[in-house]
Amino acid sequence: MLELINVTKGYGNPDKPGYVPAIRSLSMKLDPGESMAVLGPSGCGKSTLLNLIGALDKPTGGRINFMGWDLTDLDEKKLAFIRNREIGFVFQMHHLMPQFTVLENVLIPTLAWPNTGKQAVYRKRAAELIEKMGITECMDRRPGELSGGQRQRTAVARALINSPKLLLADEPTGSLDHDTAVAVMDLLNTLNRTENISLVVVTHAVDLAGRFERIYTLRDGRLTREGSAS
Amino acid sequence: MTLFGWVIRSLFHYRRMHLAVVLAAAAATATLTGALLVGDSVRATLRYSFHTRLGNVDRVISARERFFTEDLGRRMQKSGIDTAALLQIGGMVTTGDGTVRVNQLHILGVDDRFFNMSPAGKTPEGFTGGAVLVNTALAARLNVTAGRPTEVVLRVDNPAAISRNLVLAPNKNSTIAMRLPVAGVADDSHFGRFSLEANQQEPLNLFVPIAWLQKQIERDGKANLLLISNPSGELTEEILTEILDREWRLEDAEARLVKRGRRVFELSSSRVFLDHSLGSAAFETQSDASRLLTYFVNGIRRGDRMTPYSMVTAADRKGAFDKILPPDMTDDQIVINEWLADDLGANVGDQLTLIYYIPGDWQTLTEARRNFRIRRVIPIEGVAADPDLTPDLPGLSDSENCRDWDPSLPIDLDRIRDKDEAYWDNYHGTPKAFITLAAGQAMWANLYGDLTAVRFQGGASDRDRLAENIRGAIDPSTLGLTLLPVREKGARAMSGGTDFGQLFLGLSMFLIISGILLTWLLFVFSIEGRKQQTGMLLAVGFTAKRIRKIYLLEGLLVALIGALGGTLGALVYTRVLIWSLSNAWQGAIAGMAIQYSSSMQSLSIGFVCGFAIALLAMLRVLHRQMRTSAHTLLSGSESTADSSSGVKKRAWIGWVLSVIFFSAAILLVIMSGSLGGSAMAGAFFGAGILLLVSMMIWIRKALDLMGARPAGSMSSLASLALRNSARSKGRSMAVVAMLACGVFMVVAVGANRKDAGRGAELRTSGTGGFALYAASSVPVARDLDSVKGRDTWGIDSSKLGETSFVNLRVRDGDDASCLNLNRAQEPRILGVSVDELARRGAFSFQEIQKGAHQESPWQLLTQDPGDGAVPAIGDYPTIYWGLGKKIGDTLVYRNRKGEAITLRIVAMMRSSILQGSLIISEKAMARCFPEVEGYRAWLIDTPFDRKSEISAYLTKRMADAGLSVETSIARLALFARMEDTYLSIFLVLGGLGLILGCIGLGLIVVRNLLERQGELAMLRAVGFSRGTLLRMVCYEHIYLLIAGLFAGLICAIVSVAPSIHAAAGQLPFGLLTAMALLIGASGVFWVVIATGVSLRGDILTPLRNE
Repeated sequence: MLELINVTKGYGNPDKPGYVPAIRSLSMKLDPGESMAVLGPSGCGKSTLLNLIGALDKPTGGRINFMGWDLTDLDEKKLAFIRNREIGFVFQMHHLMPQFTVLENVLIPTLAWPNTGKQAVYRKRAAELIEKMGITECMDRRPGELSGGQRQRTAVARALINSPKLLLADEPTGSLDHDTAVAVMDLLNTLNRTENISLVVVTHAVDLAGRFERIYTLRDGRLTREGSAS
Repeated sequence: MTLFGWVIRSLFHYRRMHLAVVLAAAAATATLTGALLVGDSVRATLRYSFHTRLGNVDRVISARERFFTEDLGRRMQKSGIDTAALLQIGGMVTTGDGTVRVNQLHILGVDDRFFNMSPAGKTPEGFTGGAVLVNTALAARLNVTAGRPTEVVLRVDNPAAISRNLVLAPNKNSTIAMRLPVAGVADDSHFGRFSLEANQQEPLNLFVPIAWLQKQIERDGKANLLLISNPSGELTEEILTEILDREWRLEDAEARLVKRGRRVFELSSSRVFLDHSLGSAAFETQSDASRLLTYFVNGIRRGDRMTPYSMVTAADRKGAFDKILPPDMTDDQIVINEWLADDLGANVGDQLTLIYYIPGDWQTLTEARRNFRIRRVIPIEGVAADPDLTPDLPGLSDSENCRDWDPSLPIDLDRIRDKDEAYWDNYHGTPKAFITLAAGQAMWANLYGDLTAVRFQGGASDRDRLAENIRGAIDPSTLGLTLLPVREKGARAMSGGTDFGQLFLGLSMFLIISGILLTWLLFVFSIEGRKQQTGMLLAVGFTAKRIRKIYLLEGLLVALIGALGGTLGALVYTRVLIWSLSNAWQGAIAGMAIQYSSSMQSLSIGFVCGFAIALLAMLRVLHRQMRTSAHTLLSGSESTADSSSGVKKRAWIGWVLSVIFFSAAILLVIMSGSLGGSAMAGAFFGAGILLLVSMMIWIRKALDLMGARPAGSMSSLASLALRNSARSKGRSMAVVAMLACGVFMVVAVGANRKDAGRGAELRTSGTGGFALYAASSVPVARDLDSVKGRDTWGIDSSKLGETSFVNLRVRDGDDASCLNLNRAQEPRILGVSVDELARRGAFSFQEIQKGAHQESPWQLLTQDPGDGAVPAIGDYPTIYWGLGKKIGDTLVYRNRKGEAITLRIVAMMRSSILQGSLIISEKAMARCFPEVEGYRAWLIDTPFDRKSEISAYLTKRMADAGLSVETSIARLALFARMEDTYLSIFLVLGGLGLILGCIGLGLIVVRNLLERQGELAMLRAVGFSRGTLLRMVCYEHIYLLIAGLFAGLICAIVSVAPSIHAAAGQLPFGLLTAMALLIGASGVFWVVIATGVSLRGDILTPLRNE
């Protein structure tokens, strides 16, 4: 489903001093329903990798194939469509919109493209996701009234509203306490299994990374397989 | 949830931020709309002034200094048009107790027909014979109040029968005084503002019944102004001209056709000379018509014998004259009567010399002589015994005895002998000699005519036919009977004047720009505050276009509310402006009582522009925001989109641009040396602006360098602050640019304020070095520098000392000075003695015709451009602002004879006391406008320390002429007041703009500190005290303030260098320094306040949360 072939990404001019390489000739593959965790120290390029996979950024070299598309070759509009329909994002800081309720925040991705006549369907799915996330009682609350865990659950529900094939999570537990972090990781794992969603999680937490099928470490822009979950 | 619902929710959620944006957008809109509404109000006031001064009057026939019969109006009325005949005469009035005197009065002899054309359409109550009505302006000056009986002493100009420019004109009784009660006040609706001049200033009008005034000036049945009303607009100019052509009579041209003898009719004029056109046309009507020119000669000499003061007639050899003048008589031959032959002992063939005066242009006389050979001696009989050959000469024809003559000519009554007296007794003015018409015209033709009569043969019943033939042969416009489209001209003047809407837009520009910048800045903060939200939306699949659409919809509603609020706010703001214009800023509208008015058009334009500007500012913000990548936005950091090569490329462009701008500024300064006047000032101003732009680039570069300095360079709190100020370069530059522009504008504009009193005694100043300027209510015939001129008014030359006068002829017209808010259509003309001004080197010139001699621009007035145009000079405000003209442009006038006179502008003086008028040479005035009588204004050259004394003396001596004397400094200050008021308005509105700018500055500080909360908390944690942090943040922004202040100041000084040079010692340096410091202090104030507010509370909280 997802294949990175000799992908490189750097900042600045490669022929001149001051060039900062973030990803070096990285290749990897992810099949449908697979999950992987990426570990690594700060500044090793974890977020850059996620941005490349998530079509938020383009590599300076190599190719990224996703569900038959070459992401390096598509225009911004098509990439936005793929992000909306096929990829779900979960961020460390949730990025919920404070002016909207939990339900409305979950529904936000459905407004990115015309959705005439589908509002009721989306609404029903949003309610189901919220229920699945265990925050039904928060449905009409605003982000300011939620705990960290509730916010992140809402963000996960938002990432799933368009039934994506790939879920990307960038330090999803970075701002949470340990118990809540464990709960969120469990939730992502469950989703991976029950919804057959491929999952890529970037994290610092080695103990939490162990819950995923494959574990990689990113160091000096290169990906090294560490092992897999038992 | 729909997109619209999303937008509404966001609008409500971010309401505080949006409220600030709304207020900023509203401020910009209110300022813009307010400026337009001021324009509406001024236009409405001018419209009011136009309607009240003209009422239903559409056209007029103005005879100016001459008269037509009042009956002309009645005859024209038969054709179905409304007319009102008036007598309009200059004069002055004093209160009964003599404490108040008002000069330059319009005395209007009117009747019910006049008031029927007023806006009220009826005569005010109490308007009867023997009492006067005054308008509100005059009532205020005379302190006339309702219910309190007031008496005034009215002195009216007594128009002379013949032009005052001729020496023949009598000097006595030039004014008539009478004591009258004031019956009431004619308000605006009753033609209180009646005037033919397009000027918003209320004239000084005094109304008396026309019949009463006619009697006082001995002009029964006469008028000099005929108002024509054409409310339906059905009567076209062609129809009205046809009616006038049909209805005018010879009497309307002050001509008369009288019977002389049994079968002779004579066409003559009460003004001695027949108009050229009238004489020529009359001569053409009948083949036997004989033209006559009878002249008063000082003496007829033969050898040592002389006959003094005699009449000589020049005539065509036709009719009765074929018996007097031999068929082959030549122009050097003369026929004399027996009395003269006897007196001189002359015979046929003897030589005679005629000694006579040649009248010059203006009351000047030159004695000339011409020799003739006696052809015949004839008896005093038949036409040779006709005393009516001599026209009615004032002071002469009506005298019983020669010794009673008082002809104003310099004659020596002692030369009159008994036999001369006896001739007068027997033959009165019967000519003693006859010459050919050609010989007579060669000697005595002048600007006022070359015939004194035309005689025709005919029976008693032929008079009417003859009169009709003469009348039919002439175009009445050549006699001054012209239909003037005053309404059309007034409307043109009203709409062509300064557009106050645009003017106020210009004056408010800094305030508007500040409002827009503030809107932009606040919207930037609003959008930047949500950049992670934007990043998230991009990440979940929103396209940049869709996000922009959402934000734009939100901004659109904010802009809409702001524009709507601003438009409503403008209604209040405009009233504040109008209140200011009626009080502190009265000078800007020349003291006009401005009325509030608003049009839907201006409100709509203001609203749409305010809305569009706010929206454009928001679009710009969104455009920038959407260029940033999603992951950058999500991280919350500054954009990293710039590649290092891109930065270096832009850095290179910046340096190149700064060098180009700086070089261009230097080049402009160098080139300005060869320019003059406004071009030079423009070059310097341009150089200042270019320098400002290049300095902004340098400061930006300096910030770049500071940001890149090695760590070792940071050794103190101040250096830390300096490095910090280079962090958000965009915001830092906004601070610098705002201050620099503010200081630049304030100083550059403030430097143009001038003190009229400084250097006033210099010939090159706006006073021309003349201490006083005077104007009279009635024309003064003689030169006040001449002995006779001074004697006429009892002026003692010893009291005047070294005082001298430059006499000015005045051809009335529109005031083209800045005090007239209408566009002058036919500006007033002054006729000056070129040599008098050139000799003194009076006034200085801003621009002169290309190729002209720079040293003596006044001599341009004497040059003949070759195309018949008359060279004219005016000052810059008159020509450029008052008339909208430039050097080389022309203006076309019509003189009394209906001839088109073209004036060509050849030079422009700097602003002067002669503002409002065009200046031509006195000679050109005489040639082109012979109807202009006497002198009506004077430039008085007297030591400045004696100006009060001389002013008081002349005012007293020439009270009967209604002389008003004012100091040149006061006159110049009056004109400068408008310009100064504009500058004040600009400074006040600019100051408001700076306040908005400073608020923006405060917001930038707050925003910067909010973004640096963590950093500040860290500094606090490592031991920085709150006071140290406050100082550090203040330093950061004060560096920027200082940079902006100095950049603005330096560039402003460059831009106003010519003003500094031209007006050394006149510039208000103290004021400018104070203003620059005030701006700096205001900036510091807002920085300190914003920093204090931001550092309030527990600033360690962010650190604890981490």
